[in-house]
Amino acid sequence: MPTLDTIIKDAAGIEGAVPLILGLIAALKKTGDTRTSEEITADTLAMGAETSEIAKEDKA
Amino acid sequence: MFRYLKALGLAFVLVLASCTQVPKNVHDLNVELNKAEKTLNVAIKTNRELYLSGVITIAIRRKVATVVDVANDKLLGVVAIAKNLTDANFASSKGQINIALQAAAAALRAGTTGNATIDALLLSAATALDLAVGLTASIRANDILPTLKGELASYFDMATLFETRSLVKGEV
Repeated sequence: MPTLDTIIKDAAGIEGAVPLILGLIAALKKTGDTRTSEEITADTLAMGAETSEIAKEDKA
Repeated sequence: MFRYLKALGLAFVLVLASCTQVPKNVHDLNVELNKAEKTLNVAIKTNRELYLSGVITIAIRRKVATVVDVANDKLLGVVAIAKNLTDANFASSKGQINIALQAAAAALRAGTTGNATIDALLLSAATALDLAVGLTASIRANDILPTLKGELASYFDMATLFETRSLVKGEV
């Protein structure tokens, strides 16, 4: 699996890619998440709906 | 003094009950599923960015979109099942969750492209799904079941509860 540095280097210069990945890393490292389980579930479903929409467009 | 002790006891049990409504391992499963979904979301957006920037071909873009869509659908199914876990459907739901999570992880691993960024994202999501499989295995029916009533009834009889509640109300 590529290292974090490789990933960032690979994505460097590509508009939008680096902020997305850095945002993801920050989100995954986030501590002290105060959301309840219900809120987490709602967020997951909302993100899933967005992912689904983009994936369906890009499959075509 | 005794009144205060009883009120304090009730408050403690109520706080305890509200904290344990979603057991830690169930909450952890929610968190892990959320991480997997976040990663898939970033993967699909990055996939598009990489294509628009000419880094990957249309064939790769479609391949990634296809596996992300498969994994995403399975993950959404899992979230829906997990949300509706009950005593009656526990065993079959847990089985369905495990099968769907493993299928989603397998789809992502089969979708690697040779592009380091995309592959890292797909494999990260697959790893989060693996962790979710482990967490699912640790969940027992008793984690889902404890009802507030049952919990309280084991500590206090209902008459004492109502008496204490009225005493608490009188104090505030």
